[in-house]
Amino acid sequence: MNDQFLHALRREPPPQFARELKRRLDRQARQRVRASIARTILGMVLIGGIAMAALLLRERPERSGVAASVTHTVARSPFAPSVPSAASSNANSVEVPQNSTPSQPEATESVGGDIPVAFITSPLPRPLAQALVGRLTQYGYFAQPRLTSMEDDEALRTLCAGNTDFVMVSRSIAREERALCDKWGIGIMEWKLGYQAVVLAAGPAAKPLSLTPRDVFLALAERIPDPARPQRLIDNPNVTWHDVDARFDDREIEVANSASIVAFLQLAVEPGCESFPWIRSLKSTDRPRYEDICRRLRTDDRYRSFDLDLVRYWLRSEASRIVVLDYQAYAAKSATRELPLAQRLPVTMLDGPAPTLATMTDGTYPAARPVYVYAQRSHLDWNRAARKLADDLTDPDAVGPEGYLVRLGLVPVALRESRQP
Amino acid sequence: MAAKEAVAERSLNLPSTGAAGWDALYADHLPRIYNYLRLRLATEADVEDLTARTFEKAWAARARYRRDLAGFTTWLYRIAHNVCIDYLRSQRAHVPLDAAAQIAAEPTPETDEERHSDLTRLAALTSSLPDRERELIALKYGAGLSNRAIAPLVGLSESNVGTILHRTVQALRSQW
Repeated sequence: MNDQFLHALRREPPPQFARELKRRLDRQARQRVRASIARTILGMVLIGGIAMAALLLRERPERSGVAASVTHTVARSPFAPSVPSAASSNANSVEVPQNSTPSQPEATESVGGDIPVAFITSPLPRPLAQALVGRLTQYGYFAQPRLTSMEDDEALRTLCAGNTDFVMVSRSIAREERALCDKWGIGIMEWKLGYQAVVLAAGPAAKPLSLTPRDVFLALAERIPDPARPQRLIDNPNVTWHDVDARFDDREIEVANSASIVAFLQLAVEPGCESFPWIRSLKSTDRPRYEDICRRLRTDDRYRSFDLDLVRYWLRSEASRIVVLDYQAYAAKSATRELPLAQRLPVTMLDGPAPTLATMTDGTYPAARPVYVYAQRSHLDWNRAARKLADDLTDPDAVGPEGYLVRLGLVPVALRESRQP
Repeated sequence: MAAKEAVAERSLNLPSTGAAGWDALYADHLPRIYNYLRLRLATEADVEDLTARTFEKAWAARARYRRDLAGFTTWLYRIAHNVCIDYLRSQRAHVPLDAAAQIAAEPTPETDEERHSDLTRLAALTSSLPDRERELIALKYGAGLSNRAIAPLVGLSESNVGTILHRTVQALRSQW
C-alpha cells in the first residue's frame, strides 16, 4: 500500500447522478433568480404602500387658516398661459392664482404634503379650469395643483399617455383618442359641464344682420385675405358691413366686446378665419402664422373692449353698434332687478337660431363650444386631491345656478353623474 | 495537483464568475466531494445523497460566499464536512465503511469489483483510526487535496498534516 494505491481507490461519480445533480442545481439557481425578482417586486410594493400610508397620514387635516402660497400671473397675450412658476416642470405649467375663484371656501385645514393634481386645459375654458384648481388650493390641505395650457388635441393625447390627472377641453374625446387610451390601459372618466358661448347683440332699434363667422372675421381681423388674390393678406380695409359683404347695408362696423377676448376669438372669429381653406391648413403646418392671422384683431375704433355696465348707454347712442357678451351675462338678471340683457337686447346678429341651451346642445347655435372634463379613473382612487376636484365638478357651488363656474360664463347642463365614455 | 487547485481557486472568484464559472467549479469539485464522502460513509446512496446536499447548500449560499474570508475549496469542504458530521451524528448505529461490502451495487466491471474490495478492506482498517486521521485520509485520498489545502480545513500546519498522513499510511500498510 502506498499513495498511488490509495489514490487509485478514487472513482468518478456515476454519470447519471452527476447529470441529475447538475440539473437540480441549475433549477435551484433559476428558482432563486425568480424568487429574487419576486422579493424585489414585493419590496417595491411594500415601500410604495408605506409611502402612500405616510402621505395619507400627512394629509390628516389640521385646523388652520393658512392657505397655499399665491402666485399672481400676468397674461402676455389672450392665449398665452400665465408666467410659469419655478416649481413647474413644464414650460406651460403655472401655479394656480389664488384669487381666480370668485367665492372662497372656508380654509379650515393646513397645507399638507399631498400629491399635486396635474390639470391641463385648452385656452377657451382656461378661466373655468383656473377657478376649479384655485378652489382646490383654497381648501388648504392639498398640494398646489399644476395647471398647464394645451390645445384640445394635445391635451387629450397627454391624458391617454397617462401624463396628467385631468384635462378640460372644448370637445368630446374622439373615438381614435379613446382607442389610444384603451391601448395604453388608461381608464378615463368624462364630465360634460356645459357650454361656453358668446352672443353678438344689438340695441332694440337695430336691424338684424345675420352675420356669419366669416363676416365677423372679415370685419374685425387686422389683416384679411385680399379679395383679388385670396392667398395674399392685406390690412383690413372694411369700414362698413357692406364692405364685408354686399348683402349688408352700409352701416359702419362698430363692435364692443365685454366678453373674454379668448372666447370671442375662438367662438366667433376663428371659425370665420378657418373658412379660408389655406388658412385652416396653416393650423397644422404653420401654427404661429395661423395664430397671427386668426387671432389678431384690428386696433382702430371699429373694435374695442367694453365694460358690461356701459353696454346699454353705448348701444343707445348708436343703433348700428354691436356688442359681444358672454352668454351668461346676456341671459342673467342683474342685481338691480332690471330685465336681463337678453330681453333688453333682443336682436342677435349671428346667423342661425337664437342662443339658448337647446340650440347649444343641438349644435345649431354657432358661437358655442361644449366644456368637457376627463380624468384618469385610477388616479381618483389614490389621489385624494384629484377625487375632491372630481367631486367639485358636480358640486352645485360650482355648476349650480349661482355657481362660481356659471358666473365665469359656463352654461351648465343639468347636473348628472360622471360616466365612462 | 497543486497547480490544478490553484487554477481552480483562481476560477473561484465567485461573485464575478458567471454560470460558466459555476459549471467549471461543479465539474472540478464533484468528483472530489464524492470521493471524500465515499471514504467517510458506508453506502453509495448516502454518498450520493450527501454529495447532492453539499452542492445544494453551497449553491444556495453562493451569493453569501466571501472570498476575503476563505478560499472556495476551504469553504466547500467545510460545508461537506459539516454535512457529513451532521449525518454521522444522526446515524447512531453507523459503522463507517463497514457496510460498503453490502452495498447493492450495480453491476460493475471487474476492476470496480477489485476496487470495492480494496475499499472494503481499507474501511475495515480505518474504522479503528481516530476521527482526525480518518478525515485526513478522506481529504487526501478521497478529495485529492494537497497537504497545503488540507491544513486549514483541519486546523493543522501543512507539515503536521504530512507527518500524520505518513504515519497513518505506514500503520495501514503494516496491517494490510
